[in-house]
Amino acid sequence: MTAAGTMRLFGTGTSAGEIQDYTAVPKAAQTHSLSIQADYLRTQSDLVSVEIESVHERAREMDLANRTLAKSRNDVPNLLDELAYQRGMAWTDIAEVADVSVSAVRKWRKGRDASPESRSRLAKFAALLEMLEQKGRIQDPANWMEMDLPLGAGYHIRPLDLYLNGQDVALLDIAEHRGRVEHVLDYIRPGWREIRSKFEVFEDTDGLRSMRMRSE
Amino acid sequence: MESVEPEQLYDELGEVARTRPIFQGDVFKDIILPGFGDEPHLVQIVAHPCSMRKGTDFRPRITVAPVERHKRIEGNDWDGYLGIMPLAELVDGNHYAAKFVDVTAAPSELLHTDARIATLSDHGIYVLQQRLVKHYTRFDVDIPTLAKVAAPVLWEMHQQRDWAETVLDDETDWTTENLHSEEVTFHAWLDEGNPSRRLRLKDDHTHTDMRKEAHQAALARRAEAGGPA
Repeated sequence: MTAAGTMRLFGTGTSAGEIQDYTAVPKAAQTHSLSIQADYLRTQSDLVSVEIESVHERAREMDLANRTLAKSRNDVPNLLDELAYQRGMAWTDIAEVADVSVSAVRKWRKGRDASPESRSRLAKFAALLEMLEQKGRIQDPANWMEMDLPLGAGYHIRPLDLYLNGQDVALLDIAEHRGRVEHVLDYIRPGWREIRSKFEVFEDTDGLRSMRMRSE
Repeated sequence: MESVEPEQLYDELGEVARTRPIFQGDVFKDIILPGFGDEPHLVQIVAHPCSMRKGTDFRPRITVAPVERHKRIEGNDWDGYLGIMPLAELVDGNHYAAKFVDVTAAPSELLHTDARIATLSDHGIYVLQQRLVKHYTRFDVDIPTLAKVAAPVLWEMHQQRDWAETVLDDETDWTTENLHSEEVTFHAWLDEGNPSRRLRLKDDHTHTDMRKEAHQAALARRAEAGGPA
């Protein structure tokens, strides 16, 4: 646009004639210009955001890999000791993490050899618990892994379930409160909302747990 | 209805540790059932864990389902065959099933650990419970809810085993008397405190702190008994 054109569009405000010109400035064009500018900035911001997210994810993966390597220097009895007795994990959960039966884990405790893959799985989980504690500031990460995510009545999804589905980085997002749990789940587990129990668990007259249909 | 493959169905098959408390879903051999002739049977405990014992002692009779050879249940068949609990590859790779229509009560003294040939995983127990509810009521219950209801009793069962294996480090010490003695001690430990640990467990079964505490108590008991520290 020429200088004269610019003058015509925006004016100087020094004479009545120019003011007339000013009123002729099409507001739609001004809005359009602002809109283009906003679109551009938003797009740039989104691109940077996606890039930051990707860098962050890579950094976390590297962090987890490094910690896993450090943990895997421990032998299996030591890893089991850390998970079961220092962290307080259930043997059933440890077995699931290692992808073996509970009895196999018990045999490892008695000195039977575990495969390198099993050892690596145990090391990775121990490393993730450490990350959740240090980065996610979760005081008792083994306990947190067993608790249902705060999704409302009828939804029983534990962080451990996400881990077992290979969604360990998403767990860090949830632990660090990077977005609502529901949104993280929408991204990593579409359809989770359809799996809702019709039942609720309650304390029965004999003091034990029972179940009944939820009222709402 | 949930389906489950043998790798996820059983905790132990064939060789079952004596330290695991007798529990719902356990399969026993050589059981003579009243009213079922003189032939010994395979049976599976179907009684809920809470109704099998009074304190730490078994009730005189425990509800079981006879187990017989059956074709392998696969795919959509898990939604049918509602009168059985499929037990694939139970003996020598052969497939069996517990028959709910023949459920009966077996004398509990016959259901001892030497006769036990299989135990179910936690998931296997939920599947059994789901099929039992469906068989008796035509009602579908989801597995996560069953898991939540069963969590405190499963916690106790697993922790009792851990206790016994920690205190009795040497397998030769896993005699019936020693295991019963540790069972009594473990349950006394659970009843300690105000509120008792058992009550705390009922409120929240995810007690990682109590698992750590139980292990420390078992180690202390082992040291007291002169075992390795």
